[in-house]
Amino acid sequence: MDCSNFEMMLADAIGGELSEEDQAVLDVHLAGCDRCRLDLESARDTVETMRSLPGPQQVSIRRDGDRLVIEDRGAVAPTARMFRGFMRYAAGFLIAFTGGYACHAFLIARDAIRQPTPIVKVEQQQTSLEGSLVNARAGKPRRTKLASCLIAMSTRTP
Amino acid sequence: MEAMKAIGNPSSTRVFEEYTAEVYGWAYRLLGRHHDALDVVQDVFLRWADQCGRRTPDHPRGWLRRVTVNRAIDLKRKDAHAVSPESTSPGAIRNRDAGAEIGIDHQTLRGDISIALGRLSDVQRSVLVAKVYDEMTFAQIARELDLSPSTIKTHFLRGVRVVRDSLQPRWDKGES
Repeated sequence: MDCSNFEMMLADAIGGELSEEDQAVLDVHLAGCDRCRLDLESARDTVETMRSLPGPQQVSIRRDGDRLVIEDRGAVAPTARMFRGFMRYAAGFLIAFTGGYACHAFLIARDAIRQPTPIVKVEQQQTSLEGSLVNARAGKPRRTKLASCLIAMSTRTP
Repeated sequence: MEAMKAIGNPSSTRVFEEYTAEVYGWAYRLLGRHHDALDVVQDVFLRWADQCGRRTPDHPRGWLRRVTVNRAIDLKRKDAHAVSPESTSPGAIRNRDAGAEIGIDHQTLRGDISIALGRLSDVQRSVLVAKVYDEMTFAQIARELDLSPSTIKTHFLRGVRVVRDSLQPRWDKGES
């Protein structure tokens, strides 16, 4: 069995670029060749191990005059990260709530403008003292308490 | 940063601004320390400025990757026994209480990988980093390095096998 014919396929398999047709051909070869099978498995493990090394998390690059400042904000303590996540969530919720409330208020105001409420005339009751006394003496039912007191006082016999 | 002063013409400045994050990422992957990665970024772009004074590379990204990896490996060789900052971060300290020194293990893994990459040729190193960390296709790498895809695949296989042989002792001990 000539394994050198399968070198390109092995490279594609490790690199994740193997076509389905080539995969089928390679699978047949690997079923009968332990050396290539172990080669492929160990190579994939190697690539995964290399990728397991963490890269920079949150790189920000900004100019400061003629200086360049590179910051990696990935090295943040978990509690601080959780707090930031919570604050972002809370801010998003607040914005959504405020926006929803503003829309609701806008819709109500728009409806009010379109349908003006009818003006109800309210008869203002005359509540002046004189008026109350006049009503009381005329026997009109609307008698204020004050008017009743005054009538009582005026009819009291000394 | 001195590199910013050294880069005078607009095209070099554009390359600098376009690729700084990637250069930093490559360096950080291999070194694991923010300030060491910054040193490499500065060195790389100072060299870029020198190179542009002679002949501007056709593929800046490929050139930058190659120089960054080489510089990072050189730095790693000089600093083989540094303490990892990851081992002093709060998370690692808590994990240390549980017996797992993840940060130190990452640094030793980086050291092993750097030693393995040091055994490869420039092209093999570039191909491996481009494939593993940048997840480029073989065709893309071939275009960038002006080589055929089959040559790139050969370099890739050779590079992976060398790194695998370097990591084999770790696996034999049962480490990840």
